Amino acid sequence: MYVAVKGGERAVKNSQILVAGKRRGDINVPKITPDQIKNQLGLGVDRVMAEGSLYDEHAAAMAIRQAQGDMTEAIFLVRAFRTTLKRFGNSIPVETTRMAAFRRVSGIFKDIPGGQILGPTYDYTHRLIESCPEDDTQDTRERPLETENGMSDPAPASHDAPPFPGELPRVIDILQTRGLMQKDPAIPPNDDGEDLTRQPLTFPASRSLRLQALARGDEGFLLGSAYSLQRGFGLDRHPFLGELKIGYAAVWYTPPELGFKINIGRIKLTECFMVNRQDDAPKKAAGFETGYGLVFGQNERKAMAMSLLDRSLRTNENTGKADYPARDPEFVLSHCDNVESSGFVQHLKLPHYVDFQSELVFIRSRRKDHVPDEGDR
Amino acid sequence: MQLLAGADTADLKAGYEQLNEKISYTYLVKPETGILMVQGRADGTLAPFCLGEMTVTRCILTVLDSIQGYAMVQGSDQEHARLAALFDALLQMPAFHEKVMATLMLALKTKEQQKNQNLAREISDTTVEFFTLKRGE
Repeated sequence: MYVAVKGGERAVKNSQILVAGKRRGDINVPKITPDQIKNQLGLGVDRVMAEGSLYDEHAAAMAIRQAQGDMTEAIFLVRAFRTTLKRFGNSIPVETTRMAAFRRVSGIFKDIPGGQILGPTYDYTHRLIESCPEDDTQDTRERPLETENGMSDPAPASHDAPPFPGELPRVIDILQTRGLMQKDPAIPPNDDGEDLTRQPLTFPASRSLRLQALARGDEGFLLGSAYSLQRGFGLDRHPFLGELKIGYAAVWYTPPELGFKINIGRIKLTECFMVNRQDDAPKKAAGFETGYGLVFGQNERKAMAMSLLDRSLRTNENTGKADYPARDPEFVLSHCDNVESSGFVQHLKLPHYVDFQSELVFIRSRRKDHVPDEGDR
Repeated sequence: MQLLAGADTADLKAGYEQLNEKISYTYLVKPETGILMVQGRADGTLAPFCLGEMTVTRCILTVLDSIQGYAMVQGSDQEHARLAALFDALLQMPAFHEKVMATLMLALKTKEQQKNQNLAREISDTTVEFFTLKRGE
């Protein structure tokens, strides 16, 4: 028999007021602005956009502030925000060779068309927490980087700027033209990929859905899974970085009202190709295989993990057997969404009093001796 | 249209002030914010997949009941969409085309080129130059 119990409304309301206060912190300390977050915590904004699955720097910055820096919470806010917006349509697939790349490296070939461009990265920093002045005037190391929306005064033309690498051919193409990599049969480019936001994820999942799930998946989970591959839980040889490229890609869209495509703007993307040796197989000569990663914003770690998993999740496509967790599409894809996983894990905080009561009843009925009754008032 | 979409709202506002004329228009679609699903391609060349959505704002208006101005811009700035659509319409009108091209559009193009040049200069400094050392013989 159930007895409905209600209560806690006052406590809940006060909890909301309290968290808003905690979020603000000491009122003598200046309030943080979304602009500051967008500019100085840009990589955090990138992560929230990628996993929130919404490219909107302002929304992501607001979410980070509102979530007090808890990224998973911020991602939840962005996901919720996107459900309130109307979908106008799908863009034409982005052309990543035409990205205005500001970072582009390859681990497999030294000399690549366009060169190895290191760009802005933490890879070569010394990882020491530095104390720097809190104002900009004395710090001579910092040179303000050009932001997407940055207004620049006409720079003194000290030397002619080299031509911007407009189009950087794919490093992978070098392997293909040399016949070292089997080119997958070209699929007639259909207009729209399948969409996880419109259909549930069922298995076996197409590569389209897998890539979408990975692109919005939790960076930590993907990173750990990719690490497990490298440590032997799925890969028995060293993978190689074919190409890692970060830059701005143009987004084109064909509005039905116009009938021709228009350029909406540019978004920052990280693209990654991983290359793996494939030994001689009964019907295939030895060659190279690739995995692909594509993420919103600058996130090298995630793009690399995604590309390793893209390959590993295809390993058992024909056999259907999952020998290691990171080779099991059902394991990886069902659990990589942090909004879903956070929701289910944290739902345990909700009252489960009645459920637990039935557990107590069961335990008691299994015990023959007198057990002091506890906690049932 | 690309330049208008990539412009700062402040620049578009300034451009409008420069015209010194009040342009009247009617909305077909008032500035509304929505989302576009951005697609990528597997391996960069194969089947499309949905990468994630992006916030956009669009606006469609008519000037003089016949010229249609269209704009879809990144972000949720409705003023940006409105002004971009307005200039899209003006650029189609012979009376305004030359003037707008010579003033606002030229300024936007110059600014964009500057941005690209600055970016190119910065990254060229980080392009690796390899030196091979000959050893032995």
